[in-house]
Parts: sequence; structure tokens; C-alpha cells
Amino acid sequence: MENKTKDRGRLYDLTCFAAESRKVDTLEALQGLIEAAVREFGFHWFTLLHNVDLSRRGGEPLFLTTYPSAWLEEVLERRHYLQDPIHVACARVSSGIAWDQIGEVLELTERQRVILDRARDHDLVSGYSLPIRMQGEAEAIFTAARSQDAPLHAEDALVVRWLGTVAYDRARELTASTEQKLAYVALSPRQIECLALVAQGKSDWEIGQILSLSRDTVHEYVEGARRRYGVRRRTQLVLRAVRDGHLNMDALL
Amino acid sequence: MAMLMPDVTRAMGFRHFALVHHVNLQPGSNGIHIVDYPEEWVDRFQTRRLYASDPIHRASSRTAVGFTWSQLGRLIEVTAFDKAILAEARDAGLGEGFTVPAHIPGEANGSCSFAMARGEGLNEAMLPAAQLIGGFAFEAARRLGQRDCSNKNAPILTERQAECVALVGRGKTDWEISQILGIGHETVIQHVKDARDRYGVTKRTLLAVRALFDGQISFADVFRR
Repeated sequence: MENKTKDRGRLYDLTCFAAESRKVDTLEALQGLIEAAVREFGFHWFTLLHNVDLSRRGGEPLFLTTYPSAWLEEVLERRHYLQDPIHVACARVSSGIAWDQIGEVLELTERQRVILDRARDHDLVSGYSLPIRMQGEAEAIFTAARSQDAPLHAEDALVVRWLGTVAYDRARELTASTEQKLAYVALSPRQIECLALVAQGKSDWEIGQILSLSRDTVHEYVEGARRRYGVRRRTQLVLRAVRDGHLNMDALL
Repeated sequence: MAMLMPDVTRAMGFRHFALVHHVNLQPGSNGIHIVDYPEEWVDRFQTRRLYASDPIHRASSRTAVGFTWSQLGRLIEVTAFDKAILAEARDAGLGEGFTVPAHIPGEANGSCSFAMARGEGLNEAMLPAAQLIGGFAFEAARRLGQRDCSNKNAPILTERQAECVALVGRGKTDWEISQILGIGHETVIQHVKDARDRYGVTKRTLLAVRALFDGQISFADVFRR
């Protein structure tokens, strides 16, 4: 019974976190909100970042953290991030992983063992990390960490998963870069039908045969769509149409 | 799984659920499809092939976190066609709902939705639970279908290949790519050809779509100014 009441309290807090996260309008405010939430649920620190190779990816990578600054400095200085075992493990799981289970998905290298030991020396003793994935976007990782080796219960893992997903969703909205803000462009059903075939690499003539339209009509549909998007090439046109949800990537492949 | 879902759905106070991959379900395809929606709606959904254009599915590809159906306009442009679909769903007996998206790179998008009956309100306090259970349900169904969880079989592009494919996605010709990257024209042709071979596709556009799908390149790479 007592447990049940406690769970209700948690559910209420989790709903509050979602509602509050919608209200903050800067990353700094969001960071403060996440920090308060992870503490309330028995963790000390969190990190929310894009798991990307910073040298290549476009856009602004996300990086929010409350980790001890001495540890962050060491990570940068010794380039621990290159082989960070948490990141490697996250890439291999579909939902999330407690730090003490990393050995189950990953053969730890000597260097990775050292990284985990060093983190422990900096008081990052236990934690739970999860990958957050969106089609066509860089993978993000959310971690909540503790300073003691307290066992991580199933509920804790659930809480971290909820906090991480909600926090990322809001961070993603707040950092929406130019490419995410590209305006939605409406297309007609006929244009979409033709574009789905353009995506398969079909020529106007082939599309005409498939849809029983003249080559010129097909050309006009596709070119009309291209003009609406104001892009130069058909490849760009197809990807924008995917981005806007006119074409379903799943159905194209 | 199909036995468990109705229980957990009712325990959270919902009436209906749909645990699905957003793909056309042809015989022999191994997409997830465990649905308890009003039968009339399921039939219409299949016959009209709404899996690709359904506004809920489209919205679910735009967010990492669950959303209530009434917030749809926050995620996508709700067209007249979408409104018609939503109205039909209501007529078939579906009320307000909550959809939890599932994204796994290299796999079709999926989602787990929970819905009320028409005219019933949604219990907001249950949404975190619905989010977590929806996520778990999708994972469990996926494991049971014995899909490769770690996606190890997806081809990996080299850094250079990915760079070239991202530029293909931006509509550049091989010659233009060679100028941008400062490498030989022949080299670019070879990189793009190798990338197409790895994916087993013959067309450039499809190559870009495939690489996006697998997370080898991102929209940010493609639409960067």
C-alpha cells in the first residue's frame, strides 16, 4: 500500500516535470530543471549530449551536463570521450543500460576499464544511460549518475528513461537549427505519388507508364513540387519531402 | 504479448491499443502488428493503406517522446486530408489517444498507441506510465519477432563515403563533390559507387535515403547551409 502511494507521488512528479519542461525557454533553464529532477529522484548528476563526431556533423551538437568540472576537464584533456565505454554500450542497446551491466554488452578494453575507474575516483559511482534516437538525426545520450553504489531499482531505470526522453524532446525544440526550421511545404496527392517514384530513381517516362499519365504531366507535377521547395535538384526535393512527412522513409525502402 | 497488452492497457485506464511498425503488412513481412482498435477502423486503415500517410504515424516520426492526439498540430501541419482521417477514426469509435514513438536506426519506425473510447477524457497522470509501458511493449514485441536488436548487419560507411553521400543528399554531382572536398573526381565516383554497393542500391537518391534511415548521415548534414 505504502509503495502504491509512493508510486502515485512519482507519477505526479513525472507529469510535473513534463509540464515544467514545456515552460522553460532556454537551455540553461532546462538544465536547472533537469538537475532538480534528477536530484529529487535520488541521483546527483546528469549529462544530455549528442553522441557525434564533432568534426563532421552539421548543426549545433547538444551538450548539457552537471558533472563535476574536474572530471569534465580530465575527459577533455585525456580524450576519454574517444572510447567512452558508456557511449559504446549505448550504441549497442535499444533502450538503456545500468553502468554495472556494461560488461554484458561490451568486452571492455584496458583503456575503458581505466575510464570507468577514473570516473569512480571522481565520485561518479553508479548510473543509468540511455540512447535517444530519431530517424535522420544524430543519436543523443542521457545519463543520470550517483555518488554512491546504491543498487539501481527497476523504477529508477524507468524514471531516468522518462526524464531523459522528455528532456531531450524539449532540448531538441529549443535548439532547433535552421535545417529543422525549414518551413513545411504543402504538396498535392498527385505530386506526392510522383515523388515516391522519383525516390526510387524512376524517370518521368517510367513514372508516366506506372501511373498512366503522360510524361509531360509527370514532369509538371515533379517540377511543380521542386519549385515549391525552391531546391535545385531532385535528390534534395525527395529528402525535403521525407523530412516534411510526405514520404515515409519506411515505405520507400 | 497479444494477451498481455489488453490487461496493461485497461490497467492504465485506456480502452484500445495499437503496437505497430509503420509499414505495409504484406503476407510474410515480419513487421509488428498487434492491434486492439475498433474493427471497422482497422479494416479501413488496411484497405486505404494509411500506414504511410496517417497523421499519427507522421507525427510520431517527428518526436522522441509520446504525444496526445489533440497536440498533433504541434508536431505536423495538419492538412484537410488528415482532419478527414481523424474524423473517420472518431466515427469508428476512437476517442483521445496517446502515441509513444519507437525509433531504431536501420529499422522501420513504429509506435505504441493507447486510446480512449469516443467521448471519454484522458487521464493525464497516466501518461508517463503509458510512455514507459509503450516503449517496453515495442521493444518486447521486437525481441519476440527476433529482429536483430543491435542492427549489426547494417553496412557501415567510411567517413569519406558518408561525407560524399551527405553531399549527394544535397543534390551535388560527383564533380561538385570533388571540388568541395578537394579530392579527385574519379575518387568521388569510386566512393559513391562503393557506398551504393554496400547498400545494394543502384540509384543515388535511394542511397541518400538509405544512409539517412540507418543514421549514417543526418538531416543536419543534408540541409546544412
